[in-house]
Amino acid sequence: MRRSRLLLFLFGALTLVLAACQKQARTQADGVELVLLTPGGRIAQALEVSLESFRREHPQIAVRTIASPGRDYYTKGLTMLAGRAQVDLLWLGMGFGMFADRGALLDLAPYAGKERPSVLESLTPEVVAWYRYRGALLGLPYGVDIQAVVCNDSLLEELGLALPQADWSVEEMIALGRAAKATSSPERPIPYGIGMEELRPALFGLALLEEGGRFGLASPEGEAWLKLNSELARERVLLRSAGQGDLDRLSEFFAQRIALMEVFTWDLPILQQRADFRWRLLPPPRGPRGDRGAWASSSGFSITKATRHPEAAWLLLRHLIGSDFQKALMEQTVPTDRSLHDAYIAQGGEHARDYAVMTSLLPVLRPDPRVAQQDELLSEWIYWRERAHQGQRSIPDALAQAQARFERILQRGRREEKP
Amino acid sequence: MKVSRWIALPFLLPNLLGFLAFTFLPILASLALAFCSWDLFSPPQWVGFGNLSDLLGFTLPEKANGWLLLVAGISAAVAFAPLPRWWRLGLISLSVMALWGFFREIEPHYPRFWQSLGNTFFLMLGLPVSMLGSLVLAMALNRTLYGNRFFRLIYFLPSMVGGVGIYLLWKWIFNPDYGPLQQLFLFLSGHDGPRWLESVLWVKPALMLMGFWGSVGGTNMILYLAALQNISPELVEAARIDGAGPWQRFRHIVLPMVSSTSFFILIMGVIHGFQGGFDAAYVMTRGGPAGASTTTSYFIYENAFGWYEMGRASAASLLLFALVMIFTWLNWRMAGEKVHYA
Repeated sequence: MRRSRLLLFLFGALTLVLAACQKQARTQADGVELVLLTPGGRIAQALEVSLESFRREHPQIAVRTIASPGRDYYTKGLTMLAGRAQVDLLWLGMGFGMFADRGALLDLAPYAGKERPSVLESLTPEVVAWYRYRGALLGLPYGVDIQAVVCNDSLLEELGLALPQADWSVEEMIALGRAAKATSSPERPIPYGIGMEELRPALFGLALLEEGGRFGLASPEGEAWLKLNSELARERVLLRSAGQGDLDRLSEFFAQRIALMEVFTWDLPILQQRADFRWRLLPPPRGPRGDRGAWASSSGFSITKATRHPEAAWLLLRHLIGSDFQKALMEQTVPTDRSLHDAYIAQGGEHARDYAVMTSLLPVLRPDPRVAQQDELLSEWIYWRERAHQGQRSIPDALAQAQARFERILQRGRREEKP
Repeated sequence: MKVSRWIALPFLLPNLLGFLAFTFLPILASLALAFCSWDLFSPPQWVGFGNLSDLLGFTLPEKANGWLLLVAGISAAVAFAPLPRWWRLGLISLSVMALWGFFREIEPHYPRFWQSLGNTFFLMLGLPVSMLGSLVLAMALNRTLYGNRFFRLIYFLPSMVGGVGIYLLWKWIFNPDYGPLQQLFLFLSGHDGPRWLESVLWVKPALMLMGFWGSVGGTNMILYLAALQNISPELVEAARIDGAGPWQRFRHIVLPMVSSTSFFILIMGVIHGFQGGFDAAYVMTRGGPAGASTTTSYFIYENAFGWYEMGRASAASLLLFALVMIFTWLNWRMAGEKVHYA
């Protein structure tokens, strides 16, 4: 009797465990449910508004958003996909390559190809090209993120320094940063000359990783570039971040302790709100060879390969890269729809000329190449760069070590390449 | 009345299932994955000892001096001969120095792993200081003074406050531009202090300093307090009557009587030390600058969830496990016999 009760108890417990493991019931028995992974903040807010109109247009498609704010967005996204969690669409920016190279994304070319006129015709072709990967179209962008330089004219005048012009060179920028730093005094502290953690390789016509997957700094130019960065870091002309990234950069600028600062499209709203002094946007300076290159990235959406509803997901993606959504996020990113560029500039009001600087840079954008090992490569680079800055390795040795590690990582990546 | 042993099963089962599913099987899987390459997306590929050789392997540069290795080997071998103690000590020192000279020239395949191990050991140097601090504090709070219950609470508070908040607070304290510690340095010396978390030289001392704040007055202090209260007052009184001074009473009564607690704290501290350092590195420094605050646990996290190198992360976990085992065994061998159990 006791044994049969025991067995009954065990059976009941097992049933409960199995019931808990049952796949999550679909919320709409006769429709489909899409899960959209997004970072939080302004993007999530704009999405909620945009999804309301999508739900009205497509009542048979339910959309559930999962907002994953914070710096580990890509890690969380990859872990969810690897864990077979339902994610049909996801927002992707700089981390696109990490997903594309792992074969996690659906080729959109067949869907885009069916449409007449094609959705691609209205989008900036250079930016759409960033989402092509080994012949497949793995995402569509709604915005472009571009780097420029913001200049505090009030502070420069107060320090008695000449205001830079739009056609400036990188040497002029460094000289201005050094001059600003030299004016620092206990009464008027200027902790850093330029609010940049490094003079990006793009400013010198260099790239950390060249197309084709080669370490791009193993050259005399790369050596000279790292040496210059090390010197400027030691002189505190460049910002040594206390690990808070944007917070350090922006707070110092708004406190009028930095006269020049690296700025991105997503910084413009806060500049408009918080800067109570005269400021101006300048294009990145011309490099030693006279050409100009601006670091850039983009924001867009991709559909996961694991989606069970590719048609519905395509409808949602089309909606999200439409002009309404682009307009909703226009304050922090340049729309990829070229017909919206005038509206983008106009929203700047008295700073419309500064917004125009961003669109003028579209032909000279230099995005990072997109590879699966992007985070590891970047971490490896920061490691060796910091060792050089801190005097633990000589410049040539740090570059040689970084190159060797890059080759090792990329070689392993090629070995594990997905068919 | 005879009770069937099976009756215990339903009570044990929930925990046992949880243990199997979330601890035992993952440990086995991690062991197997240490010999595979796996990025979570594609099936694991067998790479044998590839991950371990990636972590532990090194290249001998042309300038590496083979003579040093020979000197190290010969002096180590001779040290085993029946020689006077000082001779033996000298030969062992010579061997160690020659080995050091040899190994400082080699190029590890993955220097960041070795650096993370070095950082972990360095941060563990704080353990004896923290233990001593806890003991001293516990002795101070063990006295029957007015308000000592209040002070016990105050000193225990840091270990009750949530981790991330504390790390953010310390990050602000260490900020080299506007942190209060920098202001204090400036006020006292007229010069800027170290750039704590930005400097490869100062980041580890900074993390140790923060660790002392949390650990000196934490659980260790409570354990020592309990051990001190278990010391029979007659023992102390008898020693006093026999003319033992405060230091002799501490050396010959207090220390032996709390030795079992010290041993427990040491064992747990070493295990925790090997596994620790992740949260501070994650929140405060992201392992930087130049990997100077990357501990082995953070290295494992970075490889597993930053770069999806599950095989390499598992191999590092395996090595960490081996280190914990070796050091725990050494602790038992070297200190276990000296512990006095009352």
